[in-house]
Amino acid sequence: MRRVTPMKGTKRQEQPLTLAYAAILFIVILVLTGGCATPKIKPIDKMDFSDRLQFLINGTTTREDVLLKLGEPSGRFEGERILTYMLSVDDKRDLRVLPRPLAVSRTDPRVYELDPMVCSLVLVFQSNNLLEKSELVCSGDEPK
Amino acid sequence: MTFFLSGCLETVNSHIYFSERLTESYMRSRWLPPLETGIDTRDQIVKKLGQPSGTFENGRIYSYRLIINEWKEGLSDNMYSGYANAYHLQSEILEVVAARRLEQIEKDGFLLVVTDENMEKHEKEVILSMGEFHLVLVFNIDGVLTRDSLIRIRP
Repeated sequence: MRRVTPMKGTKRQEQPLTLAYAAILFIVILVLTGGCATPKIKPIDKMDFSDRLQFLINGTTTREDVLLKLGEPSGRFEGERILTYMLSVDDKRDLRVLPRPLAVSRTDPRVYELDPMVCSLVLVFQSNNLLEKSELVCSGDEPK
Repeated sequence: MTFFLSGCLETVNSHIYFSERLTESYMRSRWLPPLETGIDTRDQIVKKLGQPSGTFENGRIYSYRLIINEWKEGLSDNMYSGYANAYHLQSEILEVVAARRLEQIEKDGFLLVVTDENMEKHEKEVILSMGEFHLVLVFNIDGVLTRDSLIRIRP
């Protein structure tokens, strides 16, 4: 049986190929992980921002107070037990409530108005309509 | 042409320009029907404003999502693209252009209550509207208006 022997220099030819594959693999991984990079998402102390949210006091603030101060929520869950608001934080650390479609459509041209930091305010109410707890979760760059 | 003119004409910050003009008090005096706390009933409110965008606590609280719609005939796809393309470029706009848009609001504008039912139909106008407000109305057990609040969402 004829034995196949590697040609002279084959190993040397394989080496650049291996390097090319490694480079391609590296780029693919870089691109993929870049797409999956976790954005900076973190809970934020409400008091760090403007006085717009300082009216939120657990056990005291009612759903009515919240609606009168912040307007229509961007989402409601479990009936009205949980209300959510999309908020934007500007450079002066002022919060503003975002219009509702922004919460669902990234093709909305108003996304260009967004401040560097966008937050979700989640409010949970007790059965007596009093605020049970609230959480502000933000993503993006925190204003200096 | 616009490039050369822009060198001569004054520009304004779009957000500041419209924020100073489309205020809550402007909205109340120019666009909202008078709301009488302690007098208006839920039915009277519906006659004045139409069905609310949302209700809370078994109808004790009404919310109205209000848009000043500048386009009586609606927006065609072409018009929408034009406005949408210009939208994010206009942090600084020519003052005459901003003033013209305010004139258009005054001349052709009307108040639109956005609901889940009409949102799709008016989506383009809602997205590009310069003025969006939320009106929240609280009624007592007899269905009489007791508290109200107008919140500016945009600009």
